[in-house]
Amino acid sequence: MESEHGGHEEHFPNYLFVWFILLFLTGTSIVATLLVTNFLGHIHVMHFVLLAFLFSLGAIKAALVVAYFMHLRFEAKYLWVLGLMALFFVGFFIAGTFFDLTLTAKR
Amino acid sequence: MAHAQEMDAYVEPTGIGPPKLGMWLFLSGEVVLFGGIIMTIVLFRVSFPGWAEESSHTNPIIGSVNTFNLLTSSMLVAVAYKMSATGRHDLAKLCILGCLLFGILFLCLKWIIEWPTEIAHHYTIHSGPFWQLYYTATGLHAVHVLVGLVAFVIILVLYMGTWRPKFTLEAAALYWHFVDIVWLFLWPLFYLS
Repeated sequence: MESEHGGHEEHFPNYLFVWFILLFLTGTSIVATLLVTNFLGHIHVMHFVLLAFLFSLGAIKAALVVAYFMHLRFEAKYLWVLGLMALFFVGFFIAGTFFDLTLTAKR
Repeated sequence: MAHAQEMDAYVEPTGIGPPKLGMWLFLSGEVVLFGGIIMTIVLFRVSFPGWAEESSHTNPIIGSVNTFNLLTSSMLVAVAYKMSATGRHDLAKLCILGCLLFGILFLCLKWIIEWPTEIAHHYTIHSGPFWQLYYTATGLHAVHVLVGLVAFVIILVLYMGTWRPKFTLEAAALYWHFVDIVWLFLWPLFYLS
């Protein structure tokens, strides 16, 4: 559907609801950190489990911001391609750096 | 001003105006910049044994409050865009002002309380890999916050007149949300883990 300027009709999600979810996930991150540092801190591997958990929550929050605050969920698909290309380049550079580091370490 | 108004009204046949498309292209470059920095931090977090001990010297309360600040300002700027697009300009201006205040609070906590306290305790950029990455990443992020705040001040000042910055506001909002996303990854790496 076209708007008066010839563009697509805009969708406005419930920003307040998205914001509450983001705050809830932020609170979950803090609670998880307090639990691990106060009760499970002596188990070395738990620090890496915590890091993975916090990073996963960060990724979910980032996805919510991109999808709803940045409206990518309602945008043309080629904007997704733009974002995915950027992520591909990040992965490419990181993979290259890992590869180089591994080779250097073996020498 | 008239030229800016025309630019704002112009929309490509694809439905994406030049300000928005330009901002998405710019942000895709920024993803590579900050993605590289964040992955470097992850690498160090996993391989540098003293990371957890060093990160215990940062202030998690300020870090968490700043997360709240950026999430709230991000929500406010999204609402501001909605209000601007639906013709409720007074509310839009109010939301931009709220976004500005939370952004300023973010920088004040960082520049007036957090960094000076850490430097006073001799945790400077010369204090090892953790602090080098900490000051580099959070410093670069703070510069991005500052640029966003300047953009919103300009938009707000122009908005006080007859200018209706729908697409410009949208582009600035996209940038601001990106700055928020970067912080969502920096916060656990430097303050929680």
